[in-house]
Amino acid sequence: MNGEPIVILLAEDDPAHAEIVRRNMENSRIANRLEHVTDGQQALDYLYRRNGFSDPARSPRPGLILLDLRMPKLDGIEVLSAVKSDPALARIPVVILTTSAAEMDIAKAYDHHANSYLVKPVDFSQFSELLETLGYYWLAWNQKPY
Amino acid sequence: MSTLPLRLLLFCCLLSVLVQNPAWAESPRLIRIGAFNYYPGIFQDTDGAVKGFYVDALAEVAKRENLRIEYVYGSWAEGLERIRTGEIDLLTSVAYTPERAKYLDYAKTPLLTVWGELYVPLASEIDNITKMQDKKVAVMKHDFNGQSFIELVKSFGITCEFVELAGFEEVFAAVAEKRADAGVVNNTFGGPKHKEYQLRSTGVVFNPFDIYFAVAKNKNTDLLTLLDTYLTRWRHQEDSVYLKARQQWAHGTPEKVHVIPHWLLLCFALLGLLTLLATAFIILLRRQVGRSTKAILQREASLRESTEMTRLLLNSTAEALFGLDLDGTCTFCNTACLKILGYDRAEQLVGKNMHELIHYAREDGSLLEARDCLILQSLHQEAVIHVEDEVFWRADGTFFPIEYWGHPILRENKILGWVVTFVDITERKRLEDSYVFLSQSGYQHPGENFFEALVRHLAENLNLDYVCIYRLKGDGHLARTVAIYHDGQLRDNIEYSLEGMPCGEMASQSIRCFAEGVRHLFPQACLLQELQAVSYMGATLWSFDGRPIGLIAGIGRNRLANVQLAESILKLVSLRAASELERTQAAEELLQKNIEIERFTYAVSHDLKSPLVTIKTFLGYLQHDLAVGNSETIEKDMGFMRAATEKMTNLLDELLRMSRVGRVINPPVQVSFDALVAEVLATVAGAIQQRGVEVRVTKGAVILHGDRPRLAEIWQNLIDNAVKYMGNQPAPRIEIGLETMGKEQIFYVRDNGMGIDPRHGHKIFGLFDKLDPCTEGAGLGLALVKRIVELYKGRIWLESEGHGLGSCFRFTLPEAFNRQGDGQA
Repeated sequence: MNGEPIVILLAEDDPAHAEIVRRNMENSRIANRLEHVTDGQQALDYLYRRNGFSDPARSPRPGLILLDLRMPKLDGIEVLSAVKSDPALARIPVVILTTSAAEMDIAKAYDHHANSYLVKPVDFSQFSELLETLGYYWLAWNQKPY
Repeated sequence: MSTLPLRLLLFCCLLSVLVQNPAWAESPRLIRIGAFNYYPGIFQDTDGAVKGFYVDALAEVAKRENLRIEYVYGSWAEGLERIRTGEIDLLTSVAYTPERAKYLDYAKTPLLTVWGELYVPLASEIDNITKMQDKKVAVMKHDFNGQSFIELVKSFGITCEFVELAGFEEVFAAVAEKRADAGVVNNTFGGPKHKEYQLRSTGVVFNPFDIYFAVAKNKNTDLLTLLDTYLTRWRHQEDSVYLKARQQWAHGTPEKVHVIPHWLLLCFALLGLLTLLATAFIILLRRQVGRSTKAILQREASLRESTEMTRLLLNSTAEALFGLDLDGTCTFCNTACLKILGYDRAEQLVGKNMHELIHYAREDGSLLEARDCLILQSLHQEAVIHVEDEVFWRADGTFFPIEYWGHPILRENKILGWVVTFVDITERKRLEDSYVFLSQSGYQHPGENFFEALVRHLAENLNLDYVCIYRLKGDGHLARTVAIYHDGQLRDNIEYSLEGMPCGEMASQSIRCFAEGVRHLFPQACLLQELQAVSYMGATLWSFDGRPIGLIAGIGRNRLANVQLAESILKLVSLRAASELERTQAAEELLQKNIEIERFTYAVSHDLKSPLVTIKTFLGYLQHDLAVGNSETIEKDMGFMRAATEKMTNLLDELLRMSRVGRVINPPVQVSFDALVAEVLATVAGAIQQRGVEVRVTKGAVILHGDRPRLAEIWQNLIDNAVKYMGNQPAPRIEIGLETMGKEQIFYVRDNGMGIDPRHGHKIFGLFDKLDPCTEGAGLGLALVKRIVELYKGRIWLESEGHGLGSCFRFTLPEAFNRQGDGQA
């Protein structure tokens, strides 16, 4: 636990799912700032501070990216690929958070150097537990890069 | 019988002779001679004159001895009586009997030797004396022969009835008139006379005796001596008057008199005969020689003709052939043989050892020893050999594969030599190579697919510089290669137009080969110009149902040496290539379908799971909120859940619509483009009006043929989308129309709304792909449109300048214009 608490960037097109993540963080007393974008294009715009994300104060560099795979315009894999192929962004841990358990998706994600791959459980308590664990793991225990 | 005028005539004749001969001037001595019918010695002719050879002979004596002869004609009996009475001086033809000797003196030299002979009619059965029993026999009265015969039958104990007649003539007449069964005459009469009476001799001869001149006893003995002298001389002299007269009267005509000596005549005759024989022989010989010469010439001509025929025959056979003697030396060869082996004249082969000349090595260049040569080893055997895996060497040192047959030439089971016939089987080998290629599935180089292997094979086997195989696209004017082999290397596949190419022209034909000058034939074909092409060959690849689906094209920078071979090979490989093209096409389509299904399953599972996650999670929150009584969040929770179920409902609805495409088929109908667009606009009129969209329709007199509700769905979705993604455009506008580009009819639906970033253009037709998560719908609209368009063999694409610049969807529906087809079925 060093320095300032990291900013979490959530890229999720489904508002309901974004609400779930937000509520879970609230419930788990995770005070980290959560920034939400609704498609892959916005996610990259945020990371590169383009098209309305140019203010560094409003769009701080995230310490963790929660990335959905199926999104309009640019999908999660495209965003992941862009992040991991840019040395300036490559070190940001990217956690894939998706409903898809398809082998192809999992393989592709790891091929593009995803740091973790999580499947959204259909069960309420499991989903809550997953998000709670995710918070502890990535925010409390995981050593963030410099 | 005798008449005065006759006698007078005779006298006159004699007188005239006497007057001519001065030696007879003194009065000649008169001799009276008793004449009777004793043919041919003496007889009275029909004119009354006494004739016969005695008469001729006596006339000669009379001429020489100055005698005058007077004949007193009567019967034999009368004659005998007259000499007794002294009425006549001389009697001829008197046989000696002791009784007659009492009153007659006989000459010493016999006049003739005569015998008796029995004559019968031609049809009589009598042929010997034993058959004479009770037969009636005619004889001459007082004839010595008749008396002898009477005694003869008596001695045999045979009884006959005898009829005595005056003379031999009467005897023959009696027999001829059947008054007697047989008649006895002497041989001198019977010989010349029997034919006249149509009688024949029985062969019964008897009593040979001599007849003499006779005079009355002791009277005219000097005459007898004189006649004796002449007779003795004449009987021994061949050309004597006596013998000549006898001969003449016995056989011939009395008018003809031989004046040439008999021996001369004989000589002449002999000579004539010889000359005749010689001439005949010469003629015969000449004719024979002529005939032989002609036969020889004919035989020579026919031999020449048959030799020529054989030569022509040998030279007009397509099969090459040569003959060998038993040492393996060439004895003959035909034109085909010379041509194939690359020689000009037969002399270059004839007399040479053929094995050493043309058969000395194998295909790999290794020496073929004489002991390994099947021909040489078989020369002394009566066998037939057939080989098809060897090569012959040409005059220029190149070789070619051959098939040959060897047969011994036999004459009467003896081997005279051998004849070897052979054909160049280069073509067959090449064709076999293609068979082998196909039978080994064509995968000879690792990592090459069938088409790549095939273009390589064709280039190598047909000596081509460029070979490619394409798949026809659209209506057959566009082509995409599946393999290109160019100058020894496989090249990347390309897509190009077939306009102006020979292959474009041959889309309706099967196989075409241009051996040379192809650049001039197709001046607008850039590829041919670029490659400096000389020859071209192409084969259309046909689908199972008879549509042209692809082409094989080969281009050479050299003249095509063997068009027939090229055609055969193309024909052969095109069958397999076509099926392979169909197979790969089907496999590709299947792969596409699989991918689509996979994507569909994936998308469905994701898009259905996502709202489920929402619902279940918010159910958990709801439970918690209900427990704490947080009514504010309860409402919020339920809102999320409602939205999720709504999303699921939409998704299921669209899936249902999607599944109908290609499954539910309405009967095809004719509908005009205008009517279809009007119908669609009516259904979306509410949304259009609400957003204030201006709709412009460019009318086109086009009739579409197909499933009407399904066709309408295309425009409905596109117009829906256009309205939905109009964004904040203050003057929203939608243009609907149809334009012709080349040979294609292209429909369009253009708007001036949000537009689509070209970067995202590729995914808008995917299942569940939405560019804006906030809009309604499950993202199946364009996927649905694409599926319908594809059912009509069309394509759909997006043209957009980018975000905010509006978008234009263009699509084609070729099958909807095909009135023969039944639309999507």
